[in-house]
Amino acid sequence: MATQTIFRSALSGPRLAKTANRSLLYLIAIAATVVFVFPVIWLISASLKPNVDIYRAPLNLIPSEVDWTPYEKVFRVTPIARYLLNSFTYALGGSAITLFFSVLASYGLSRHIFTGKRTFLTFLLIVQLVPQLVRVVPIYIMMSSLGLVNTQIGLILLYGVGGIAYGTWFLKGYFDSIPKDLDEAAWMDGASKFATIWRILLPTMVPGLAALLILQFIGHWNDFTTAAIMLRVPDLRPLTVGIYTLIGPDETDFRLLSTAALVNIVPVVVVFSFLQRYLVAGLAAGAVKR
Amino acid sequence: MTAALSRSTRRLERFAGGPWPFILPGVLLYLALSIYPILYQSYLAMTDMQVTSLSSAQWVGLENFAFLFSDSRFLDAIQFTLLFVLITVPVQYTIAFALALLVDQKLRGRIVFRLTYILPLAISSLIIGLMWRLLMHESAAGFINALLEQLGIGTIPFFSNPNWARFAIFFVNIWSSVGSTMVFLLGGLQTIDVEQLEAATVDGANAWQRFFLIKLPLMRQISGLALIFMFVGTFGIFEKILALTFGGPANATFTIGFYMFATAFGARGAWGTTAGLLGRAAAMGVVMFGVILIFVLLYLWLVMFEREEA
Amino acid sequence: MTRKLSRRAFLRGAALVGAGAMASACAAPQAPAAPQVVTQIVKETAVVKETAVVKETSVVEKVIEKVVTATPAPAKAVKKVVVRYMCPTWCSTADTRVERQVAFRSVIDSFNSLYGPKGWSVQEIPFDGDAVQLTQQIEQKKVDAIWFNFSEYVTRSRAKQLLALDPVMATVGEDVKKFFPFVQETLLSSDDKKVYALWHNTDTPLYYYNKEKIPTPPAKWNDLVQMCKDIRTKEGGKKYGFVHPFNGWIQMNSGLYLALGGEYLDKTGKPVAFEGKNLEIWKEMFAHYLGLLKNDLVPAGSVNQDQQQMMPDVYAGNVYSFAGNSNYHVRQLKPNLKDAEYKQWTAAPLPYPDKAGKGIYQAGGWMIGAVANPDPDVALAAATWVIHATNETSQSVTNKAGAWIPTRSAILENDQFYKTDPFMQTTLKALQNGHVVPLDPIWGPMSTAIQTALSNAATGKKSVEDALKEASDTTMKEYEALKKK
Repeated sequence: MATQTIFRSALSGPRLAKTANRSLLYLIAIAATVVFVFPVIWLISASLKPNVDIYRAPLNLIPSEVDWTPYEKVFRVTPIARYLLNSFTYALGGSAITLFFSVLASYGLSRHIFTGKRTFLTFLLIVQLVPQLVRVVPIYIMMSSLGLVNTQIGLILLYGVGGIAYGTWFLKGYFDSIPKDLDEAAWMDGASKFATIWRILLPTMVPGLAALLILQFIGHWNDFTTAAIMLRVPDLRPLTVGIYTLIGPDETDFRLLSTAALVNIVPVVVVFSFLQRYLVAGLAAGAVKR
Repeated sequence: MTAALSRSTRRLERFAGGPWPFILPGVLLYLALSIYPILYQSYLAMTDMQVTSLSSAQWVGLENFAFLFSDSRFLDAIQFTLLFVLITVPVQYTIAFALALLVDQKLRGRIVFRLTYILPLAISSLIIGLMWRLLMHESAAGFINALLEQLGIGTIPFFSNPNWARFAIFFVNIWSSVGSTMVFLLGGLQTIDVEQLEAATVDGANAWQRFFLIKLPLMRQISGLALIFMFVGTFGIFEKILALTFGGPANATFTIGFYMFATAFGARGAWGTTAGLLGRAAAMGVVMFGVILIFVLLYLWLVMFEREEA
Repeated sequence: MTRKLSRRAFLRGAALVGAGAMASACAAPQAPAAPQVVTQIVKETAVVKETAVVKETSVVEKVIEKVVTATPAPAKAVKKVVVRYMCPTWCSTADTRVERQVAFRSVIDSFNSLYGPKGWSVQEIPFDGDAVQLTQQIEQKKVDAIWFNFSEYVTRSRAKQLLALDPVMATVGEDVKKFFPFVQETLLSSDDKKVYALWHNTDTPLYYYNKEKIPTPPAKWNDLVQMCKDIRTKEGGKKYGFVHPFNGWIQMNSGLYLALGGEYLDKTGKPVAFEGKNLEIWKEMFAHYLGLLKNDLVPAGSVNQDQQQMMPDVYAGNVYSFAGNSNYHVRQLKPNLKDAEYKQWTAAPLPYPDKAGKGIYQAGGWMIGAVANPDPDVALAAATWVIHATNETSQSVTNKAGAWIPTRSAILENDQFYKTDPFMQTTLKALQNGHVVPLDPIWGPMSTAIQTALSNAATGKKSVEDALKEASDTTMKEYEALKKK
């Protein structure tokens, strides 16, 4: 990486044009950042303003009077704690299932050659592209005939299994980059296949596993459509569906809504920022290692 | 090398007992929940299953499809869905590429920039829709219009004018998805061989030439992948439309997916009397899948074509 | 289950339960075997104290003795019957608002204590209100009583999901005539004219206005237009006199179409709303609304706004009146306006077209029904629950908590609150001419088609004629498809 830097800077144009260019680049970068970040900032400001000001003085990002009541109210009045717990359970459960099956399947795919492997891989890739929305109607009917609608297991199963193709495709690249000699050495030492995977191969893949876990977790945490059709009982709702019930004919308190939305966003953003290193590396590596 | 490889691979085969015990459980489960529903949906599309008679659905053949293709709302939906996909994907690709290039430069704080560009990925689609709904509210009670008014430009009828409504949907969708495409392309950029770039610079190529003649061609495969991901993924838009325009005004932002969901499960305001037509909704799902399939097959054909050339 | 009950609320609930229990204990007991005297305890609730948060009521029992000829003999061993009652969260003890929790709790508790000796009890199953889910649960035999939207009355009874209540009603002295006229009409509109559910609460759209800015509410459309013009000339800029949601337009205007002499369906149930003079009526109504838009008398954004999305302009103080539903706009205004401003708002019946002579307004609302069940004990218990949950006492308690309108004539005469509260009085005035939309399945597609036509015309996508023609075509197509079933 360092050598790249040296070469690149050494080989660029004259200094003056370079500084002007760089200033322009900074400008664009910062402008883009503002566009992406400001809605969240606005949301924070809306949650702190008195309701009336949200509509009367929308441009005042800094509220004239900071009012923390929605933060306390949202925990008191809405079952948000329950919703949070549900979101967490479904996201974690789903990701765990995906990870488990993906590790196994991608190991199998990576370590073996068989006819039609390439077609199979392409097939996997294509199938997981199709958005879930295409399947909601049949899935709903299937799940309800299996009696899995309105159950936590049902949703976790749906989440978990739905991610297997992507997870397999994603992790296969990582497995591929680990030399097969490692497997052999372990085998010669008398290790079973599972022990090999668990003790030897996986530890070297931690960034990839972490990236997959994060991606899946965030995806499930933010899901609305699947959860909305599967879970009808208030107690089982995850946060996204809970938020949707906060707007509508019966009552609309935008401050409460924005507070609830922030409760949904903030944990993810925090996790995101800390682990974005893994995430970006994982996404990028997955892209390249196909 | 090949001899050694096949020897160790064969040994490995024996060791692991074949690939299938590993692959099958996950894959079978996955196929059950992702391929089978699509097939089941094709069957459902030919029944008149309704919410009020789940167990007594009858075969009606192609009746649902006949209805759909003579329904102007459905035709509007197809038109808009295609318009939506064909416009937003190239735009999103361009912006994502630009951002990826930007972040690839040695700017200070680029990690921070990168984080903010992928920030929307952390937010649920529904919340994104609700946020922008109020931000884009049509009078000065909405942030953007208030700003525009201050600047003397006047308000924009984001949701009551069909074209602006479409713009709003395009904008919000690109805003929320460009980050993931950017990361994808960034990965590709960062594996470009530096030596090729150096050689080009030594030969006198400027930044633009380096970009168009070296970076872009080398990124072809990744770009292709990114594009097909985008094309197909964009069909799944739903929550944003639900929150922003509800398919309006006058069905200007009606997508096949939205119509399908509203027909099956109802959407706020239709108290179950218009909804629940699961057979018809399934037919829409089939059409939706068919269109997606066309894109996918096109992509595969192009890829195969290229492989043959190479 | 997380339920946010404050102590005060809990104590009050407990007091009601205790009172109920004591009263039933003091009353003549469920007589064993032959004697046919059944004692009914009628609880009257009087408002003792009313604050912004809760209304405290005190319970006064009147013991009425009735002679009933056919009483189920309780001499048998007590068989435990649990009535599984499915209702949306917002009308259950699981709602976040304390007053609703208390109200619904008291109805369930009074039933449990009254019929507990018989072995009956009610188990509440809150859900998100989705009709698909409800049907599913019924088909899977997982519920015995349901709360559902009035618009599903005919379809659900036709699909044999509901139990006819007439026999049980006769037993306990309940009569459909005790309800409002439009309620009676609807309940008797089932295929065999039997009563399959009882109407629990109703609501209707109202005209909300700021009385500081609009001292006299416009009674007719011309007055409305004039008022809007005046405000635009006087204040201009961002200020408007009125806003009407175009999404959900049909709810506010379905009655006005009837008031102008329109007809939806003919005697065979075929849609005739797009023929001859009916078509002209739609054109007139459309012209009024398109005029409001074109002449900049209402905010342009309302074209794609529903009742909730049009409110920011009201909250921002830029619009002085709006059309909204009677039961929840009070709740929308309150959290979003400063107190002093909130007090400026009041309601009146919606303005009606001048030619109409009077306004007719759509009545909405919810019913409670018992699910058809082969087991006679469960069926009886469920039916009794339905009658109990919609009797005078229950309705007084729950409707106050929900800011809804009850459906029994008697409450309006006997209950202080409904006689004196201004919003209630206004809603009642509007409901004098309440109408119920056709409960035929074709209503859904037909109303959607009319809405779409208006939307098409308002955005200029189609001319009014073409838009209505398309609405007609779509409706007839759907009608044909329905007839095949």
